[in-house]
Amino acid sequence: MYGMLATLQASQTDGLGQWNLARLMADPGPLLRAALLIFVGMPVAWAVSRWVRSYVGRLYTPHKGLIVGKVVFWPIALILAVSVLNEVGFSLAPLLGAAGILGVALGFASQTSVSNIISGFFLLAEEPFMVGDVINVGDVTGAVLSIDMLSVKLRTFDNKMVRIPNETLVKAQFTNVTRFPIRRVDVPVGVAYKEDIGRVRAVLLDVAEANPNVLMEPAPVVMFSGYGASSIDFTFAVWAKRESWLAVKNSITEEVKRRLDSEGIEIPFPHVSLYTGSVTEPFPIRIEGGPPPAAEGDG
Amino acid sequence: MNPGRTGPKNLWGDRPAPAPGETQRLGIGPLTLWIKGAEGEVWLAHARTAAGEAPPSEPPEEGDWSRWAFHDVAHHLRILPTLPDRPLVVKPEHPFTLLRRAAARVYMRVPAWVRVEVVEDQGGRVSVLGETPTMHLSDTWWGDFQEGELAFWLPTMGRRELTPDLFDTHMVMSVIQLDNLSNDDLRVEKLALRVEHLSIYEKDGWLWAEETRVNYHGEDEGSEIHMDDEPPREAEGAREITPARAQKRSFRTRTFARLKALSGWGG
Repeated sequence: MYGMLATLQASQTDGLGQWNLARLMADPGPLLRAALLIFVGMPVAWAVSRWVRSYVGRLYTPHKGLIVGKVVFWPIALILAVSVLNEVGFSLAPLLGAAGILGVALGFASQTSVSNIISGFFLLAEEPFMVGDVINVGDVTGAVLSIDMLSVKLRTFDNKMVRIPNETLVKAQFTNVTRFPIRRVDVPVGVAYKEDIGRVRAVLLDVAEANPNVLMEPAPVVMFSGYGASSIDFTFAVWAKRESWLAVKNSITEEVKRRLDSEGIEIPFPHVSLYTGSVTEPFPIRIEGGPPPAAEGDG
Repeated sequence: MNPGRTGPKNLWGDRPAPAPGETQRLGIGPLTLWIKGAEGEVWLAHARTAAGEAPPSEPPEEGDWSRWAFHDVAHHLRILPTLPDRPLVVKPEHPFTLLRRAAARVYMRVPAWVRVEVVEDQGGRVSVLGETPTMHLSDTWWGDFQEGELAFWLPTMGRRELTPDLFDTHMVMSVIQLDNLSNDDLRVEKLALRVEHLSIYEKDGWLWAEETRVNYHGEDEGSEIHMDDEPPREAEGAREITPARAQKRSFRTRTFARLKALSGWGG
């Protein structure tokens, strides 16, 4: 910073610094070149970056095009700025010296930001998700609004905006819910032990066939999950387009209940049956204290 | 191929639009279509009948109608059959193996959709009011778990033999010529028919689509598909009444199911 101030002050004394206003007025060549760099160079830089952004955006994704466009524009702008300063005689040497010290300080302070930027590049290259995808990160689920330099923005389904640093996404496990075009809906179904498994299976498959959003293939499947405490458990799995997943999940659950009820197939409550060791013998009860129970046949 | 009987006449094509207050009723297979006229408007409603049921004679309630308002010029209606707008997945009546260098001809009945158009008498400008399937077709997925396309599941089976009982008012007879040009046997358990590239022809009241020739070159190379621009030889002399939705061309695509791709559970 001291070096930069010294350079500026030199212009007032004419002799110490390179930047001399009077000299520039006498010989306007450098000034004209500087003006040319600004008024021609900057529009050219902007046009080149726009073309690159458009080309890459068509070839890959619009977001990649945006990033590459910026990567092209800012170095050109920086080169132009250095060239303009060089033309008008502004010495960058002291500035670079100060910048070196400043850079070290900034480097320590911006570790996280730099990590996020680099993580952002990795996310763009790997493409685990794109704008519009729905992802689960920890306990947050939302649609990807944007993939920015430092973070990814999600919109949750109750319309909140969640900002997740890129570094977090590179380190953590997350799930892309909408990566593939079809998804499976799993419905746990439990029926009473007395029910016919084959009949239950046929009824469930019929429910799937009747649902207009359930795909015929991959075929719906009824998988026997096990002997539960109160019921025989199945997992009824059907496939749907990802756009219809929620509609299928809601509708198929209701339709299963309705159909099982109409077929007289019991969906039992959790219950416990107590036996003394024999199903047919009455459960013995002894009353402590109080009047004795009435014998059978008494009025 | 002569089915031995003639199909319905005057079902497809141009017809006068209903006058205001007048309702026309059309029965096309299991589909019943009502077209009602109003001042500057056309109303449409439909109902489908399950097998064995009698078609409804009365139109549905007010809320089940669709209304179109248009420029009040002299016009008439055009009723056309169309094919579904997605590929159809069909299972042959009995799966078979096509030996290498062998060929087979499969006949499939495709339920038509009914398109209702309004055509201006002066100038002939056409406005499509809507398309209604004569039969409801279930959605299915043609592809694998990571990529593919949405298709319709065709409940009617593919047949190797053309018999008179296959012909029906609302069915378009589609012919597939399979040629196994690979060095492997081809197990045909189901296949996808790209009906969006097919036109519809009419002969003696029955509907036909042009022949689709599928040249199978092996699992890695896929299939080459060619669609003719004329009716199949079984319907020689038929006239085109509905052009294809998509431009006809030859292309390579996936026609036969990857037998292990969709195991349905955990695959």
